[in-house]
Amino acid sequence: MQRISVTINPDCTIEYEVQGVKGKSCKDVTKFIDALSSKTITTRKTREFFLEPPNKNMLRGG
Amino acid sequence: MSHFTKNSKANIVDRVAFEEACKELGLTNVIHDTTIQSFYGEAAQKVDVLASYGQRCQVGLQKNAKGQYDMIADWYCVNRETPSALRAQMGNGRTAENAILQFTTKHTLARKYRSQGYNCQFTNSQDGAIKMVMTKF
Repeated sequence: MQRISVTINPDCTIEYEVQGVKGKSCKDVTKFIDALSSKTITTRKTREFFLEPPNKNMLRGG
Repeated sequence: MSHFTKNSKANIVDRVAFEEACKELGLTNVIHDTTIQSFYGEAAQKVDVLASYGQRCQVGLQKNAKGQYDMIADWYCVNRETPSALRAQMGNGRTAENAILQFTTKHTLARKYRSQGYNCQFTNSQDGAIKMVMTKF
């Protein structure tokens, strides 16, 4: 399950966390939020960011 | 968790989200392509959207050169005739402008992520923050 947790602070800054998306594709999931803001104040990648996403084209060995 | 980020204030990119936010905050009369008046009516500016409550509480949107929207209002008027729903979101340093922008951001994100198949849930924190959880299986 993909889960995006967003906090819109009273000063209108936006904070978010992404869970359940492996690899750099998590950036695609939240690019709209980043585009909505003028600039990113802080960002921190977690272990899941560096995991390989499932390869849909992977062939089964036989 | 793959990453977390803090961004600066959101821009207004979705005028429908702005309209939904204004309605939620009590500025229920929404019209398009009109003018906004200052308190004494001595100045008027064209706006793409005008959300209003009563005679003088008016907030408009003007499209800017970037294709986004700027919020425009005589905030003195807004603060004099504030609808109760908007008033309830103000205080602790939060202005009417910030409250409308915050709710517009909420509706912008909800509309965008729902269109991509996400389920969106909201809660209001006691500190004035809006928490959103968007999930997709």
